[in-house]
Amino acid sequence: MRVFREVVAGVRSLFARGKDERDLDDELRHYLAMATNERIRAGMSPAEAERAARLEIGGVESVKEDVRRVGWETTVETFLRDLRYAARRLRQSPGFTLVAVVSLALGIGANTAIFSLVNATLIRNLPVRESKSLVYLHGSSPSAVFSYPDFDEIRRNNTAFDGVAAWGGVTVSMGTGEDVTAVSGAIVTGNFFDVLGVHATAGRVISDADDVTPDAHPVIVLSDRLWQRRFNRDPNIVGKDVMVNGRRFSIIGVAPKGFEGAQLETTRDFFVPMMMQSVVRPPRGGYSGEMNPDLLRTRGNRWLFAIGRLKPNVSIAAATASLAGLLKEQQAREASDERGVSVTMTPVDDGDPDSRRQVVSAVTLLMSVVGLVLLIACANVANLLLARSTSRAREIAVRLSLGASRGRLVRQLLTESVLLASVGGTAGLGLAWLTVNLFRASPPPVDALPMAINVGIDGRVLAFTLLLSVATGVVFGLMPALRASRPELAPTLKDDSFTARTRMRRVNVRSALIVAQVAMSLLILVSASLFLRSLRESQAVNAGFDARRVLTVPLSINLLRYTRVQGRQFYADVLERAKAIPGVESASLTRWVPLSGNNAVRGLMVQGEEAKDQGFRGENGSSGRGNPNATFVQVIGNDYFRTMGIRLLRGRDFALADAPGGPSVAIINQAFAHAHFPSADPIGQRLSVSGPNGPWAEIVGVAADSKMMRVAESPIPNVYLPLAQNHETGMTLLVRTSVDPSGLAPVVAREIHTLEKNLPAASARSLSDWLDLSLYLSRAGTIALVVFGSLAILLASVGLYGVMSYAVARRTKELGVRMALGATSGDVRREILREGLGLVGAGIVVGLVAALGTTRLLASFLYGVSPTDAVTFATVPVLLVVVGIAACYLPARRATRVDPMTALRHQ
Amino acid sequence: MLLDTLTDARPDGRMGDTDVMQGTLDMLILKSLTLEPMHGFGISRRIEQISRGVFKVNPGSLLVAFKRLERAGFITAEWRPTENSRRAKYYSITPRGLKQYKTETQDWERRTAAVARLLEAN
Repeated sequence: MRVFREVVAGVRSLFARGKDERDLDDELRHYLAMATNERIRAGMSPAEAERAARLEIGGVESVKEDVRRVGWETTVETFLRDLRYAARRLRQSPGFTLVAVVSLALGIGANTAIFSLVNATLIRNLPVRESKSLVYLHGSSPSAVFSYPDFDEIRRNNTAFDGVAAWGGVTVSMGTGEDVTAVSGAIVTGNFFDVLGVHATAGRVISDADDVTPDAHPVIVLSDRLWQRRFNRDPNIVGKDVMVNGRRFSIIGVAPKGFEGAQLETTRDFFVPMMMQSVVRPPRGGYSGEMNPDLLRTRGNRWLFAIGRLKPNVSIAAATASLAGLLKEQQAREASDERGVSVTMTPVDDGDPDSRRQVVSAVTLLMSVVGLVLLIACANVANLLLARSTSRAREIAVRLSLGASRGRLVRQLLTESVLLASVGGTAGLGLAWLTVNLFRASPPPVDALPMAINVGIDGRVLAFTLLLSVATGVVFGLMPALRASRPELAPTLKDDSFTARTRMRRVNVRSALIVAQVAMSLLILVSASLFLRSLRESQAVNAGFDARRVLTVPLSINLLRYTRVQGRQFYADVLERAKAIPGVESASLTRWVPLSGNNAVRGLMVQGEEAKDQGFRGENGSSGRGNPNATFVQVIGNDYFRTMGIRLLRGRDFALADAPGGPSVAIINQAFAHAHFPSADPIGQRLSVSGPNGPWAEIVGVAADSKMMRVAESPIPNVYLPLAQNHETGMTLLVRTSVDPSGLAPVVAREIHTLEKNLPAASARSLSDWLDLSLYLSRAGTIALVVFGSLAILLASVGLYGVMSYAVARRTKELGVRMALGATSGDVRREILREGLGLVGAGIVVGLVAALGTTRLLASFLYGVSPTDAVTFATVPVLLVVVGIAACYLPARRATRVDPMTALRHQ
Repeated sequence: MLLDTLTDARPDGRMGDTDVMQGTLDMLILKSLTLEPMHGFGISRRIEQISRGVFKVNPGSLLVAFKRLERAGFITAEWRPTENSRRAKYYSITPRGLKQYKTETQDWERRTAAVARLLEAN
């Protein structure tokens, strides 16, 4: 209440300044009159009485000032006045203001842009109700998932949660009329939306009523994004039908904007009930339409993610303990000796630890770099301010000697700095906005990023920019303000030129700033150069296959639930048609496309080798690496190696003779041969990837190594199996062309469509596209670093130019004397250049020391380049020297133009 | 004892305005207004009179204190005309101010009693 009254009184006072002044005058006048009269009555003369009375009151103005200061509104007024004054001063020196604002705009803008990236990746929250009480449930490891029966057990019998829901990722063929495309979404339990607390913006969401009878609930909820892109925000969308994997589903609602599933890293564009799993989640891998395990009952098939809302006041530790108890009971009951399933939980707000880690390290690098850029910009503006303050020295000296407090002066100068920084910050915000929009206009291709990003300038980014601007203003303004408010009063007022000592002290600060700027620029440029070289190495690496002329087209026949026979026929037909297209040299099939980030890992047994039985199948696992009991497995069609351009080193390729039912065969790559048959001939040896009773395949060939997951990897042991003997339903067509593959893509697509019109028109990509995609992040990072490096060097060179110009101006008299005494222009020019390059040299030395110590932190980003790469560390300093010479050139030339006579007269 | 604005004269000659001293001045002003409304000059003399000459208040600090008390809602002011058609600002205490005065007095008495006890002990 008291605060309110103060505020009101202050505001009223702000608008009634004149009245308040008059009141104060009158009050003082009355006091004076009374005090005078009192003394007159005591016997003093009127004149003496008045003087005594005035003495009692003291300084009238100072009293008034004290009274005024009681109200908070005075501080505001003073601030506004300072602001107006600062604005006027900035307008009066447009050159200075322009350079300062541009420097700050670049520095703050870069930071804002990177922060918006941080905002879009690390600080997001799931758009659900009260995400704090939600936890992800995992099996024994953070990436482990559940089977439906296991999950159901947890859902029914837990005591720690208000609700536990589950979902799985699916990709379906969605058809509206003639238009059939592949769309990713989620298959969810009935309580999914309830547990998350998400409601529909149109129609309704899936509820428990839709989760009762298998196959009886063909309903679908669309994401807002899908509603917009595919259905044009049709206002009558609820109730319409859509074909999903060939079956008619009814659209019952639309999810809120921004809700795209329960995981931030993956976008789900639709939601269907769990009971529809047989339609929506057809089996992949070796299962064909005939064998359709009921996922609702199969305990061994683990594919579900789970999320739970903790009961109020139940901690994660308590819930984990209660679930552990539950599972132990269940295991005892089942008497199963299966691996001890344990359950762990992580808070939903923490996100997915794996993708988070990747993002954190990349983002840390970027933020450090732009932080350095901003510091360089601040150093520039600080230098400019220092130069300016020497020209204001007289004004400040006068004010100080008239009684202005130093604190008041510093406050006023800081207001100027913060105003400057705010203007720069606003301009920087504009720059960042442009950059963000540029990024949104040409978003990265799907699959290029480990998580979905939605970059934008929102409230948090604005707040960040504001805070950063103010902080920046204080950072670069404080030192100049402190220095400026402490000039040597006597010599300044006497208008003497500065004593030599003062001059040197000031120069040292400015030189130190330049040295720091050069050092920081060197750091950034070294990083940029290392990234550039690393990217070049990655792009030049020999992938082991010929990426330039191979087209890949996914054939997801698992969505259509072909039987095995139908599948084989389809594959044969597709290959025949593809080979018939003019321009096609050969065609084949593969389960996994190299460098697409997908793979398969199976337990391995090699005849004659001691090995433990694994017998597991996994997909997209990296656990195969380095484990001698597991191996990467590729199922391929005939002619694979010829189509891909991979050399066969020994033995033969798969042929028509390797038919279903015939003797099992396999081909290995060279890395596998080195790992398992270092001294023996692999041809003729046997291996099994399906356990001790599985078919033992005879090795008939050895292929050259080729890249499988990432460009930067070292050779991975791999086993190739023939498609004919290992039927798979998710193969990708490979087509080798003699012309540019993208030209043939529509032709191939048309041929496939003629064969099977219900297949989603999937994206055809050339292998070199896949290669580029896998390098997208490297490329983006490199571009960012090069841009920031250029900014840094630009700012530093402007700073150097400024300091050298000032140095020349300061030494005008001295230079004039020297030229009058016979120094040539060459001598003078060299002198100036030497001074400037001395600064650059010192900066280079400091920067090199710092770089040698810190670039090892970049090692995880680099490929084929050492963090202390000699070429980089040699060329960057040379670049800086060249830039330094360019920046000093004009001031040096100006130094030679000094007219000795004018110089000698100059003060 | 002439204390400029009831401040502590520090050994180095600087004057500091402590909250305790501010509070004392406020209390004296409120006290003098409990008798009847008064203008600034009158309050100054009244304080001098009440404290039997111990406290002589500087007019500047008095005016500052008036504004502070007004903003806090403990006193109100009105203008009354004087002879020679000028005007004088008369302050009067508000109910809230009266309550504050009572509270402050109790506090003060409690504190001085404690100090007295401390000084008496051993």
